[in-house]
Amino acid sequence: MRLLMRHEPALRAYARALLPDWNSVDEVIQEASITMWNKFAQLEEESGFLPWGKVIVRFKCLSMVSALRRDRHVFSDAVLEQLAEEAASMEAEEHEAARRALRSCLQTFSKPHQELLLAPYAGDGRVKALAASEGRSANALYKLLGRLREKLAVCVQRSLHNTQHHAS
Amino acid sequence: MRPEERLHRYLIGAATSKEVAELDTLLATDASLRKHLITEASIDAELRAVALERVSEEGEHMRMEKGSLRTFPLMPMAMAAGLAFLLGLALMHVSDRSDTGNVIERDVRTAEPSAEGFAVLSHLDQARWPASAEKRTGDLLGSETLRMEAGVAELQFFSGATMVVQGPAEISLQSAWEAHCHEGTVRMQVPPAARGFTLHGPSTEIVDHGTEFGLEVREGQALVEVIDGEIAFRHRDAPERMVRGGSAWGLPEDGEATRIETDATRFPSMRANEGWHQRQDFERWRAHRDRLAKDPRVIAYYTFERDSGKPFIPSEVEPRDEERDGAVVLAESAAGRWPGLKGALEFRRPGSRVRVHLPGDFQAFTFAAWVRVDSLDRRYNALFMGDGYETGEPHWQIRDDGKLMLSVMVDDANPHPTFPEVRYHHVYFSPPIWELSMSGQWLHLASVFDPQGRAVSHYVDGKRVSRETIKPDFLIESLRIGNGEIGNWGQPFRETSWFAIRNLNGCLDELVILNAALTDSEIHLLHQRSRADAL
Repeated sequence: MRLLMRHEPALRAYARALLPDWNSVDEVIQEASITMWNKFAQLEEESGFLPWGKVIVRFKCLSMVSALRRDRHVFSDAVLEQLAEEAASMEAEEHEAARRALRSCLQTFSKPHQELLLAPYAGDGRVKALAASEGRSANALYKLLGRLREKLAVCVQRSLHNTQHHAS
Repeated sequence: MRPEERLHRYLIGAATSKEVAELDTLLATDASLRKHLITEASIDAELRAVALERVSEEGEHMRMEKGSLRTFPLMPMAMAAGLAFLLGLALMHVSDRSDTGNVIERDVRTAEPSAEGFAVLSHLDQARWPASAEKRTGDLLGSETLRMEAGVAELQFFSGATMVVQGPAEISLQSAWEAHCHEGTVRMQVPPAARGFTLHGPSTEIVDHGTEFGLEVREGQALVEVIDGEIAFRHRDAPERMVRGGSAWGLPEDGEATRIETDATRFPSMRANEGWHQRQDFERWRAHRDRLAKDPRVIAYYTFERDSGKPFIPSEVEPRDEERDGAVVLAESAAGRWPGLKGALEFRRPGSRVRVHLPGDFQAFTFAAWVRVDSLDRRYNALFMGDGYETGEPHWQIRDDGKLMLSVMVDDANPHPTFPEVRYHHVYFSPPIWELSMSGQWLHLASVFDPQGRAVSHYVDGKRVSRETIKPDFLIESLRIGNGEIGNWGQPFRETSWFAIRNLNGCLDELVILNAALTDSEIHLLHQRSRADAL
């Protein structure tokens, strides 16, 4: 369980790359945790936990996607397989470095911008409410949010790149 | 649109079906874009973690049993769950089925065929239907054409979009993301998660980019009005047009779209049509609630309304005691008996529960609840359960054959005289009170454990359905609860490794537990005063 606690953010990020929304991610992680617990005996050593966990999460994601496919457009199986494969190669240290980078990059944004970046996770109405309180249209705020997210991604990429540089 | 922008729209759930398909094509051949998506996904995950941490810091006064459970209802179990809970849940799955190998896989597959339909009729107001096509609140809708002669109906699509239809109307439903309006007046509300919802008029395709618009179709002539947010529409052969809130367009069958005057009042709204009588009825219930909350015999009283994002439901008992608030785990907010006015909690997911701590010594128990059972999926379906089922603690549940059950542990240190594999207790059953045809209906269930009167009684909608004498061997007069759960039973027995999943597939709207044995007439009164349609 300690292992699951430690690697859970990485597994969650992995599932997020394969699934279209957070509800599906949450369900998948919940089910995958149960399977991991059941099959824990299969695991031979601690360092194998994350790749092993990703295999389980991947399987759950693909079942979830085939259920979702009935109601909505999702990525094709070919693309999902590619994503699953490529995201699986990320190691625990890379995940942790990315998480640290995100947190320090986030600090470089102004308070209102931080608030906007975090707003989509606080429920459906949060961005709209922010827009209302600032007297702007929700649409304008979504556009700004898009730009902020890109800026954030650039900062994270850059800081990861630098770290790799220093390490090598 | 640049690929980065597409990715972002996809991740925030704003991409339309077409955009998802286009993105898919790009991703198939562009390895660096895939890498970008993977990075964006981990940024998204960590941003969400930060967001949830901040929310939980704001909710400082929420007490939970364990600090680590603080963020729980917002977060899936592994992240925030206490070790014990996760362990418990995992083992529950193990013991619930003999084969521990592919438990979940099988669940996923067997669960699939059960979901037919992608929208639900959530609310009706004086709706009239053709004789052969009668519909009721709660009906599931799939690919079909809905014909309504008059009145107002609210449909909730599983995508999250809500449609309010004013009859006469004819609406064809294609999927959770798409519908055709051939006739009628429609108001659409599209939350961020359902952006991209497409509504077709006779010669127009409208894609919602959030949040609210109306479409009227009368004898082939249509008009669309954006009430709030933004839509894109394509009328006949004209190019797509983006339209913002506060504008309206006429959509003639044989001509170009032209700007017309706005008038949002022409579109139906469920709220406005709910009528004053529903509010009056609700106010009457509120007065009842306030009286009941002051009854000194009440041990616990919950009305299952949770402020958005808060991981607890307040105890209604007065004077207010935060110690008795219930910690909500995975249970989801749902519409209560007065939709739009009162909420309820749904315990559909296997881990769903509300945990409570109710200290004290009691002389009798009355349990009464407004329950909506969707199905009895488990052998035992929990209403209210004492954690460890130790001496003096109650279990109130419904068996899969529809029988209401109440029991109190008589002596947890000794085996049952006839069935030595279980501990010393006796279960008092009602006759079957529920069957599948009642799925989705609100029922008032009550059970009374009366040691002084030596009897256990069960009630449905205020009427007694059974009464059984407590035999001297099974008499227990000192009752307690301590830690307990509403809607599930996750706690292991102290000394055996036996667990179970007992989540109730349904909703609770109100639950009161009293330290008293209410009489038949008191239960009748309780039902009368708390019911939803008394006026």
